[in-house]
Amino acid sequence: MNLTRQLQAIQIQYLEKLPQTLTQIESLAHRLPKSDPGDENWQQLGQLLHKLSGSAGTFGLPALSAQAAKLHRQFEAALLVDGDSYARECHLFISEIETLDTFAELDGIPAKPSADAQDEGSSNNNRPLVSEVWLLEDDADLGSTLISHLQAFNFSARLFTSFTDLIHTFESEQPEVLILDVLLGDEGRSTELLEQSSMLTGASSRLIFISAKDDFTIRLQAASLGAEAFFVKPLDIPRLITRLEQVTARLHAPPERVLIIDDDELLARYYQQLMINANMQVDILHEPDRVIDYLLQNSPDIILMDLQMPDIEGQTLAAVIRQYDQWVGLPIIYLSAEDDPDHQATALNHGADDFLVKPVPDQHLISAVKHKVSRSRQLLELMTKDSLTGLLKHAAIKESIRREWGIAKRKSEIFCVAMLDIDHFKQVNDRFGHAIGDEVIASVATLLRKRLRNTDVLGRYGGEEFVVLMNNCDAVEAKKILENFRQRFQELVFTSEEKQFSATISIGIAEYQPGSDMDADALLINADKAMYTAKETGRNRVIVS
Amino acid sequence: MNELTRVMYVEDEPDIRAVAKLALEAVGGLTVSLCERGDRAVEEAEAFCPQMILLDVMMPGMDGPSVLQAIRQSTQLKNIPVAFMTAKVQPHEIEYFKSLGAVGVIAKPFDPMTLSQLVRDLWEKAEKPL
Repeated sequence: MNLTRQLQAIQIQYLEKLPQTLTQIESLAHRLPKSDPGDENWQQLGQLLHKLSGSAGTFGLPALSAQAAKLHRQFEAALLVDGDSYARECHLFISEIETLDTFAELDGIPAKPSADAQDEGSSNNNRPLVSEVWLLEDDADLGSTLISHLQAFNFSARLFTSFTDLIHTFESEQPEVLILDVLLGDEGRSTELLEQSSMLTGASSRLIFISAKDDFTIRLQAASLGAEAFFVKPLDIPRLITRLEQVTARLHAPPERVLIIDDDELLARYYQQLMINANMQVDILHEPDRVIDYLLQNSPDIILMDLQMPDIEGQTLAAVIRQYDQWVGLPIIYLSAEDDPDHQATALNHGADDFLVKPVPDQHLISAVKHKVSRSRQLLELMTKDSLTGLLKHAAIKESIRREWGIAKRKSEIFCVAMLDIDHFKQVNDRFGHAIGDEVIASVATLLRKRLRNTDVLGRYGGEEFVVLMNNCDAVEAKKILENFRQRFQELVFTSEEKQFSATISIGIAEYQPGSDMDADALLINADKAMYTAKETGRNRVIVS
Repeated sequence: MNELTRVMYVEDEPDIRAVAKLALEAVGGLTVSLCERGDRAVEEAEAFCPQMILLDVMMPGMDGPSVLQAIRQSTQLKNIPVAFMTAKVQPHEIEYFKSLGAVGVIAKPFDPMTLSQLVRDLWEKAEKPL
C-alpha cells in the first residue's frame, strides 16, 4: 500500500467520526449557559475544540480547522467575562458553534447526514471520500458524455485531451483510476505511451484502456501496461462504470475488524497496536466468557484466540462459538506457543481456521489476518449477494428488513422500506437482448450504491425489482433521496449496437412509525402497493404509501 | 553531528497518532514509537530510548508540559530534546512553551508530507551548539 492510500485510509476513519464529534461539540455548547467556567462540561468542550482545530487541517479540512481554532480562542476569552455578559457571550458562541458543520462543507465534506447532501452530489454521508478518476479522451463529445456519466455516479472526474498534459499533471498528483483512450498498436502514440509506461505502471493508479480497435496484440499491449480493464468503442458506458465501481470498491474496503481473546494483557496490547498501525480496528477481550455477548453486539471479521487460557481452553471456546449458526463461517485463528504439529492438528479439529505459533513475526500476523478476512468477506458475498448486482439476495434483504423492524420497534425509531421496479423492462429485453437488460439492472444497483446513504441496505428482490431499507429516515427524506435517484437514472444513456436508449423506474415507499402495529411483511406489501400506484399513475415516479 | 533516527510521539488522539507515525516513518524514514498517555510517556521513553520526543500539549490526565517536567527529572532522558505539537501557536504561547525548555513548537494541523522535515530542523537546531 503506498503512502497516499495509507493516508487516505486514516483520513476515512477520521471523517467517519467527524459528524459524531461535531454533534458532541454542539450538545456540550448547548449546556454552557447552565455550566460554570472550569467545570467538566466546560473543560471537555475546550478540549474537543482544541483537538478539532489541531487535527482537521491534517485531514484535508482547513476551513473547519481554522474556524475551530477561532472558536477555541473565543471560548477561552469567554472564561474571563461574568454576569449578564456571560449569558450573552454563551448565546453568541452557541450560534457560531451551530455553523461549524458548514465549514466542513466548505472543505467539501458533508459533515451532517442530511438529504440535502444528496443534491450536492455527494450521497454517502459515511463515506465522504469520492474516488478521483482521470480521463484521457481527445474526442470532445465522448469526453463530455463520459465525464457527465462519471459525475452522475459520484466520481470526481477530470478530463485531459492531451497525453502530455496528463503526464505533466501526473508527476505531482495521481488519481485512483486513469481511463486512457489511446491508439494502441499505432506507431506514434504508442511509442509515446511506452516511454511513459514505467511511470504509469509504477504509480498506484489503476488503469483502464479504451480502444477503437480490438485484437489480441492490442489487448496484450494494454495488459503489459498494467490495464485492469479494456473497453472497445462504441463505448458501453454502464459496463465501464460497473467495472470502475469494482476497482474503486477494492481500494476502499473497510478496515478489518479484529477481536483478540488473550489473557496476556501486554501481548494482546502489542498485537492490537500492531494491527491498528496496519489500519485495522482491534478490540481485546480478556474474559473469554463474555465472547458471545461481544459477538452479538459487534460483528468482527476475525477472532485471534490464545489457545491456553487459565479458565477456558481456546479450542473449547471455538467450539462454543461454532454452536451458533451465524458464526460458523467466522474465521478463528489460534495463537499459541504450541509447536507440536499433532497438538496443532487436534486444536484445528475444533473449528479454527489457522494456527500461528508465538512469537508470531509482525508482518506474518498482519498478512495472515488480512488474507483470512478478505477470503471470508468474498465467501460471505457469494452466499448473500446477487452475482449480477452485488446487492443482497431476496432472502437476505427480507431478513434485513425483519431485523431492522425489530431494532426500530425496540428503540422507537422511524425507518422506510422502498420497492423499485424498472419500467417496461420486458421491452428492453425484447428489443435489445438479455445481455443489455442485465446491464440496465446492474446500473440500477451501481447508481443505488452511489446515490443512497452508506447505511441504507440494498437488495435485488427479483428480476427487475429492488428493495431498499433506509434506517433512521422518514418518508419525506426517503422520497427526497429516491426522487434524486430516479432523476439520475432516467438521464443514463445505454448503448446497444449503435442504438441509444434510456430507462425509467417506478418507486413506492412505506414508512414504519414507532408504535405502529405494522410488521415487516406489511411494510413490504405497502411499499409494493405504492410502487403499483406509481406504475398506474404513469410510471417514472415516486409514491409514498 | 548525529543523525536523527528514533523519535517518540506522545499524543492521545488515535487518528493523529496514526498519521504522524506514517508521516515520520514513510516520508521521513524515522523509527517511531507512539505513546497514547502522558503518564506512561516517561516509562515508555526510557524503554525505547528516542533521540527526540514530540509532545501533544493538551492531553487528559497528564498534559504535555507536565510530561516535559517529568522527562527533565529522569536521569536517562533529561538531555533529550523535546518539541511540542500543538494548535496553540500564538507568539506568547510559543514563548511560554520555549520557556519550559522545549526546543521548539510544531503547529497543528500539520502537513503529513512536511512533518518529518520540521522535526529534523528542530533536531538540528537542538544539536547545533550555538
